[in-house]
Amino acid sequence: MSWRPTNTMGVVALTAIATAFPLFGSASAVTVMALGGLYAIVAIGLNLLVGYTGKISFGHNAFMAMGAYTSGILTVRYDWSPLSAMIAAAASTGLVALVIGAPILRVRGHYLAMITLAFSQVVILVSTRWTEVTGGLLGIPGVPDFAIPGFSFDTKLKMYYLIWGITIVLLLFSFRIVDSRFGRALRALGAHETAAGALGVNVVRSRIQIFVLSAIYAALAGSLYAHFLNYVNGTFFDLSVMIQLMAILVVGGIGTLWGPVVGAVLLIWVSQNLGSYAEYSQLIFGLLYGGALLFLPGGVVGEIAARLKR
Amino acid sequence: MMDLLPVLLVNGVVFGAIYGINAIGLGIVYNTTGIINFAQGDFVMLGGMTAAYFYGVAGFPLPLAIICAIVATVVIGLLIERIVIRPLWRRGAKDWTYVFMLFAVATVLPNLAMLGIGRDPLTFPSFGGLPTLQLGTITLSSQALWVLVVTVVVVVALQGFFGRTLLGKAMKATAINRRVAGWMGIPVERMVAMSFGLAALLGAIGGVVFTPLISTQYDAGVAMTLNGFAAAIIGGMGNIRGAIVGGLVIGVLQSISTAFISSVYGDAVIYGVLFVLLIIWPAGFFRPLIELQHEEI
Amino acid sequence: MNVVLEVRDLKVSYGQIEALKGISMRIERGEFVGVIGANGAGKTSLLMALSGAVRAKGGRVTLDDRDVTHLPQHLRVSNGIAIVPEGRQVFGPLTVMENLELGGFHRRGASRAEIVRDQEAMLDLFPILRRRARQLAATLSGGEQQMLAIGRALMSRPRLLLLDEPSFGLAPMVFEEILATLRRLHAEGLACLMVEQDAHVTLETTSRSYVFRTGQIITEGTSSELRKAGLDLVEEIYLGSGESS
Repeated sequence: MSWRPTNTMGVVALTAIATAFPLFGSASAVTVMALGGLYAIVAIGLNLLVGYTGKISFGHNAFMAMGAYTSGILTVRYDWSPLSAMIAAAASTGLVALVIGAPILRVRGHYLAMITLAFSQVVILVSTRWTEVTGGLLGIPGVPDFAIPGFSFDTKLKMYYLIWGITIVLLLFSFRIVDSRFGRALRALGAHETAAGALGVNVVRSRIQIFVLSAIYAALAGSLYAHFLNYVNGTFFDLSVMIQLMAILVVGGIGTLWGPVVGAVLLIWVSQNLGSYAEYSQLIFGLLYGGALLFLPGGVVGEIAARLKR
Repeated sequence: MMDLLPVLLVNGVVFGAIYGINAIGLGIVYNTTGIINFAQGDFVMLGGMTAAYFYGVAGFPLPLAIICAIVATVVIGLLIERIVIRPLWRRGAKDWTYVFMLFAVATVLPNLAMLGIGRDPLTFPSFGGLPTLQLGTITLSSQALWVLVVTVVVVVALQGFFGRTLLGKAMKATAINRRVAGWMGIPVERMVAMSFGLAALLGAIGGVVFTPLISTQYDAGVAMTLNGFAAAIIGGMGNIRGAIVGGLVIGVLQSISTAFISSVYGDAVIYGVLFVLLIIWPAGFFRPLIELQHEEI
Repeated sequence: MNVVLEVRDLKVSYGQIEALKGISMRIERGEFVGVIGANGAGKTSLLMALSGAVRAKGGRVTLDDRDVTHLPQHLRVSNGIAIVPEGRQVFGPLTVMENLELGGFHRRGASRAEIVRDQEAMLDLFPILRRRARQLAATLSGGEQQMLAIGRALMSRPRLLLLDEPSFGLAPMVFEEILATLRRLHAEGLACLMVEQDAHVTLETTSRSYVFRTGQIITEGTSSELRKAGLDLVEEIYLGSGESS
């Protein structure tokens, strides 16, 4: 997929819809959509990883947690400004991703999935036990509202706009990546690794870079989450989050430009409308994304794109 | 603390035997298909959960409950292959699709178990029939002995299967070279199904024999999969004896670090070790049974 | 009927690429037929389609009057088509005897005694293998592996034996030995189809050959006819006449 004029229109449309939505939706709907935006951010990063390099990480819920905890701890305990805390969260999580990813991405990708799964299990477990640092099961309450010098995002509505603003910016950024030389290299990777290597693409380094970038996206989302809820708790980022992310990716359309956003909006809507079936949410998500893999391999966006081509 | 060591060792060996069996299951599927079965641990969980259900809720006598549990799990394994793997196989899906799909399976199965059977930890009584052994200061409970005996039987049976029966050799051939195996008349699709069935069988046996010792719960699958994977990495995917050795190493390591550090960090140690191992020995410590050529994912 | 294999207008495509553009050929009982042509001419695609490894997009393939065009790969051998793959591709981690045993897999309904007898027959056919019977196939030399691959294919009692570049990587003398054995077999009625890069070898061994270029048969004839066509033919095959191949 490459940048086309229609994508500009898409971004404009998305911006318009996102801006107008709160005028029509209830306060709770706005909150829901804000969460959707957060998931979209993580999904965009994850989509770059899976869609263009074919590697999978099951640990992105842990990267979200790390972003959230870093922001929470720095702002609550050390009085950092939310902006600097967010930058620190992104940087430190990126560093961790580099440390984990670099050795593993040199080897077989299957193992990345297992390692990141193990990693996320450990992170979530530790976060709920390491009480001195993470507050254990109680987490870290009292996280201040997000603020930049001169402006504080002290309402859910303001956070909604912040989140979707960031989502759109990151989406644009991901479009640029896909269309850049780096992105073409990535797609070559996905298509045929040895060929790409022969063409001088530094395969391993590209893989690592995209992995770290996707982790940073997740950390940003986690950080925003902390400020949105004014609370951090490791259990928010357990495996069920990973399942939702997978569902978003697959249902939206892996490797498509718009899949993550479409998937996030669709699925957050589903999860909020489960009502009495809330207990079944994990099951439903699992079935949804298994079913999509079988019957809708291109995801919603992929299918629409295929129809439009005819 | 050091006088605890023998007990920890024995404990580790018993746990490790189950990880080893799981590792064998992972290896069989991986060798035959190139797929890493993320749901392997759920077979263990299902074995234990369904046995507890048949015994505790349906009121079956224990032997019948165990047999039904194993059969049920194998059927589930075969169904998974048929419904979820086969269509992907037929349309030539890329490797990551299988990983995604099996992760979905690993999500659905525990939820089905939770909704169908229950959230609470479940167990059933020890089998009886074997004595409690006293080895110096260490007591080896009857059920622990069962674990060891079953593991030995499983290993011997599998080696006999793969080494001596035509079907076992055909499975090996499929793992070595799928296309040529097809040219021999070996029905590759059925071999894939059988590998899943075997993996489910092994998982179920492990689960059934293990549950009386530590009870089981609907979400026990993930940890089992990860431990089995770690064992398989040490032992080499598909290497039966290596898998058992790998399992023992993991089991003992876990036992020791759980005692000396803490249960949470015990797991972290295992995964840290796994991580280091993957970097140094990506192909496993023992050479994998077959040098596979799979598209790198 | 004397015709073992009949191929009519066989087409094979890999996505957009047409590898075979409509091939027709026939092989009779006891014939040793060759296929020559440059790389990419479609020789391998022909064997892949005949052995079921690749789907035919169009056309018809009959073996002994039975339509096998769309038969799944694992059913080909029970219908009489066996292949000796390119590069031997023996099952390295298994022993010579086990490789042979697997060659007879589709006959698993037959008695154990029959299979053992056939294994012995293969060892008689290739006496070197007898010494290595319990060794792992990976430890064999190239020539020995080729013999094993042929023996393995013969274990299925095929009506048609396909050979994919059997001379590849073998010393000429070794290959000669193998060819001698193959000639004996086809004298006994086994139909063989051999795909070879080395046209010289093919013309020496086979009674007639088809010449392929870019997915089509450009000519066929007996070995002597093709030899007479000589240098012109070689140019045709390898350099094309103005077209790139």
